Amino acid sequence: MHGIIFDIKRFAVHDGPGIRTTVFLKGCPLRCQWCHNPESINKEPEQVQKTVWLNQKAFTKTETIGRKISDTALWEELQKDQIFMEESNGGITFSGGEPLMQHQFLSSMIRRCKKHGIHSCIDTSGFAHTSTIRELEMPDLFLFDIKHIDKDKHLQFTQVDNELILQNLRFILEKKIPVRIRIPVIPGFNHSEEDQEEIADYLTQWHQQIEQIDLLPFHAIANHKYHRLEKEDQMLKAASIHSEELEKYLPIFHQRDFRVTIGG
Amino acid sequence: MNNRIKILRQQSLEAINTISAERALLVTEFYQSNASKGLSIPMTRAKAFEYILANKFICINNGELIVGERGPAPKATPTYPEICVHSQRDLEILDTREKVWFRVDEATRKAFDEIIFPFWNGKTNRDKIMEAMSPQWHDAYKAGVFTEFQEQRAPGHTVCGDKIYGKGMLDIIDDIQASIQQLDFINDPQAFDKREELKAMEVTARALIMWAQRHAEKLEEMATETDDSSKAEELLQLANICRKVPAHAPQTFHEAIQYYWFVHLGVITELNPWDSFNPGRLDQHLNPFYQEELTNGTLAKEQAIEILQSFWIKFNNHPSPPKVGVTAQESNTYTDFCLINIGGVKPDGSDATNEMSFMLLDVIEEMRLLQPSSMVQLSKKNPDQLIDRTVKILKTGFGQPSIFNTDAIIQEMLRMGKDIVDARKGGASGCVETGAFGTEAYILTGYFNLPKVLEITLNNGIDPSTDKAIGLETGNVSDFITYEQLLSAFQKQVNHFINIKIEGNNTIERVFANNLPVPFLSLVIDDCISTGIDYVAGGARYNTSYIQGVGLGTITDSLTALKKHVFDEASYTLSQVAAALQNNFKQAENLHFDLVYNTPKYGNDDDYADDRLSEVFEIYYNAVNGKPNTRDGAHRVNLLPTTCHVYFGSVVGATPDGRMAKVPLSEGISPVQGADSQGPTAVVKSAAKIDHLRTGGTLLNQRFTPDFFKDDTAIRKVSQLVRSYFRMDGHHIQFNVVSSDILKDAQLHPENYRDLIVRVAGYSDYFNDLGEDLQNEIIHRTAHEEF
Repeated sequence: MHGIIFDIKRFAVHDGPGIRTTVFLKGCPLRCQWCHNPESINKEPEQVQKTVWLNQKAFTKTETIGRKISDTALWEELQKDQIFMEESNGGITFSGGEPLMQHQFLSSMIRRCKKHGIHSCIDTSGFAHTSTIRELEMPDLFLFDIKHIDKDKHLQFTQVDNELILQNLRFILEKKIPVRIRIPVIPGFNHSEEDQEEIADYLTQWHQQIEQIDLLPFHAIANHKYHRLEKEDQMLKAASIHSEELEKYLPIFHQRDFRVTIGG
Repeated sequence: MNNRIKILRQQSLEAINTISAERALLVTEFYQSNASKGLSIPMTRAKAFEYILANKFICINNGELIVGERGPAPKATPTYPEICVHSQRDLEILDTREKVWFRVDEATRKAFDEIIFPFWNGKTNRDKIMEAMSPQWHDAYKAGVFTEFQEQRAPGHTVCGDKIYGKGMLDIIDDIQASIQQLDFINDPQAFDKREELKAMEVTARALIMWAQRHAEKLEEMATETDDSSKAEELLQLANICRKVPAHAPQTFHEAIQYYWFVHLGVITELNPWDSFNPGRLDQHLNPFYQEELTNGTLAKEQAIEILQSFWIKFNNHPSPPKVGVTAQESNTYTDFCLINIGGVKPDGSDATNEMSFMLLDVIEEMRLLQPSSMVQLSKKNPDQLIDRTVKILKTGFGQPSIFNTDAIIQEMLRMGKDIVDARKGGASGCVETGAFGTEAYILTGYFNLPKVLEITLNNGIDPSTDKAIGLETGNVSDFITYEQLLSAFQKQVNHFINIKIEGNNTIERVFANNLPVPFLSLVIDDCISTGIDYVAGGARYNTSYIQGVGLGTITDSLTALKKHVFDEASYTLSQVAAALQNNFKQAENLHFDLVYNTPKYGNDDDYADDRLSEVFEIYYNAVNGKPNTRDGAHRVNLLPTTCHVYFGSVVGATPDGRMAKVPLSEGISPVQGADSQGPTAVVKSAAKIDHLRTGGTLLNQRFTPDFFKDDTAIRKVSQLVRSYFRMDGHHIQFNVVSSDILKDAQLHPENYRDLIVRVAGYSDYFNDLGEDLQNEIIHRTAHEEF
């Protein structure tokens, strides 16, 4: 079986417990205006021109983003850091793009993790067919994005509706799989106490099951990537949010007995 | 820190580094006087030591709790004309150079000009060494193939064990007497020499007691002069301590530290040994005194910390004695590499962490001084608390303490044939050098420039910077059909130069043994007294000579590039590459680009590159390991550069890894600056492919931004990274927390920072991959987090 990935990051220390290797699967059905991985959207490998410097002289290097890889070959690469995973109770995180878009490949990788006793984690937008979630080999942990509870606003900013997302979240929680919620806080979208309270209210019923909520401040970080992909027009033009600005939201979640962090 | 320490610390920071002529004048006076005539060499050295201590100015700084200065004032730094004598020109350079300067006043200049230089010029140990070296040695030395440690400083590189905490100098004199009694003049032809050596040791032991008494007298005098009665009382207490130690074994915490400090000063006054001297396993030595006094109620924790802090300041008052010429570039720093060890295991192999370990870490964090250096020994038996506390200090960007693998260090020593208890009592000193504390003379003899040897190989034995034939004729570049042929030529050249180096080492060892024994240092290193043999002549229980390989990353990436582009893929001929190197890549930009960007690099857990590292390691190891020295010991390898990778880089033209001419080599076993792009786990996995257990120390530097230490969870992960490296037998790792200045430099020179990962927001990315605006933001944020 083959999948298409666009990066493998070792010593990924922000994507779940311990020292992890994160593999980024290519392809995403969402079109979030703030996307900081625009190169992850297209499911197929694509070529970009990268400027590389040597001796203060610019060279143009053509790089292919994305590569087709077999589950066996990927597993071999992921095992390179096994010793660190063992030492730190870390593991492997599957991110994207939207990893559920390659759910069969993903399930096969999760099964390998389980067989070898390595902790697995899926970092997802939650957007997938109900049948996909039902057939999925469940990981040890989900990092699950909740962007907005309001259906229309969600559609407007991500080009997809959140009904499936919320359904899938419910399904996972009912199966008692540990979940961490991630909320990207975006100016003009959900950067208000009202929006955050709405999310918090919605999640309250599962406060005992949700391990933690991470508020992720928007950073205008991907300009260079949009530039490289010649997609500058699709970029959200807003100023970065400083971490401190999110502190005002903490009580909203604390009041509802959630463990919450800024930045994860 | 309290007010007393604040003032002392500030004084130490503000003290100006100067050259003091005091010691040089005293030693010259002694050698000119009749008192030096007719004595054996060891006795001459002992009497010179005694003369210095009897006549040097006693400096007591106001408010200090540990007394004794090497010079007449803090940072007044002596010279050692019997080792090498500074000319007017040398003094001028020291006075005016931009970095690591030493001010030289008119009186000092005059003393050197009129008395010191005329007497010693042509008669120094350095002159003797240079005269004894072969033309081949001189050629290789001048070309920068290797350096020579003993040319301007004495063999030292050793560490104090636990002996002095149980024995006063009077007890040690009893041991000397007993050893003299044992001498067998009928069967041992060396008995006379041994007696001279042992008599010399006794003279130095008594000299140290005399010097401590002089401190006591001065303190008592100061007590009578002050109107402040509490001040007077404190001075008298200090005087009592100086009357007690070093003559007698210490009984209190304060006495133990003062005793060590007198011994330290004795060692660095007798000669100018490399890495000064070092209390070694300080938490192990001090904790019993501390616990006993705590129980008896004679010492409070705050008092103990105040004494420790006062002790720390003493180290900082003692910069490394200045060198000139090549050796100044080898190690161009005020640091004298006194490396305090914390943690590790006890002689029985159990966890050695104690209350004092954590008190010392507190002191290190609070004092934030250049000296002393500090390290934590981490064994699998030590609790995570020790490593987590250490990483928390590293977070502040101070670069200390570095972290060492106790279990690897012990195995290294066992491999070299040491007793397991001696190994467990040891650790690392200087930069990263493995040694048995209190029982070993492990002499660093010089750095070895591996990339330079490749350059000479690619030029058929000729050094291209001088066009002089200094190596073997191993073939023209056009002769090499296979990679193995090239590697074999490189191996022949390495063997050739290592043999020249070892021949030199074995000569230099005898020059020291015959001319500059160190009877004082011999008092504290076993088994010099029981054997009656000096420290420099093989009297220690273990006698190792190290040659330190430099430029591992550069040589590995160079061989990888040649293997790939010339032999495996044949995209360039070796002659093409050699021509490009000669022209420093002018008109060969595409070739240069391929070497830098289209070649696997060491540090990425990629076997194509890392296998070349193993080849180089085996070649170097086999050339050096086990070759005998003259002290009944053997040569061993080390992989560390101090700052020599800068000097070595300056004598090497462009290299096949794409490095431009004269640019610094890679340092230690770290990857070439910026060549590692797969993150720290890949770096440590690559580095662990070296067999650390067959070395006497390796140095790995890892760069991090402060974000990686943001909270306890993040710190834990860095600690786990260290644990993993040590599970793979890594010897040492040190963290450089990246400053905003480095980030600014990375914006200007991105090719040097391909490894630099920064935390952006909930994730990390390569700094080079970020847009300029975000780079600026991160620079701003990093600056904000700096202390």
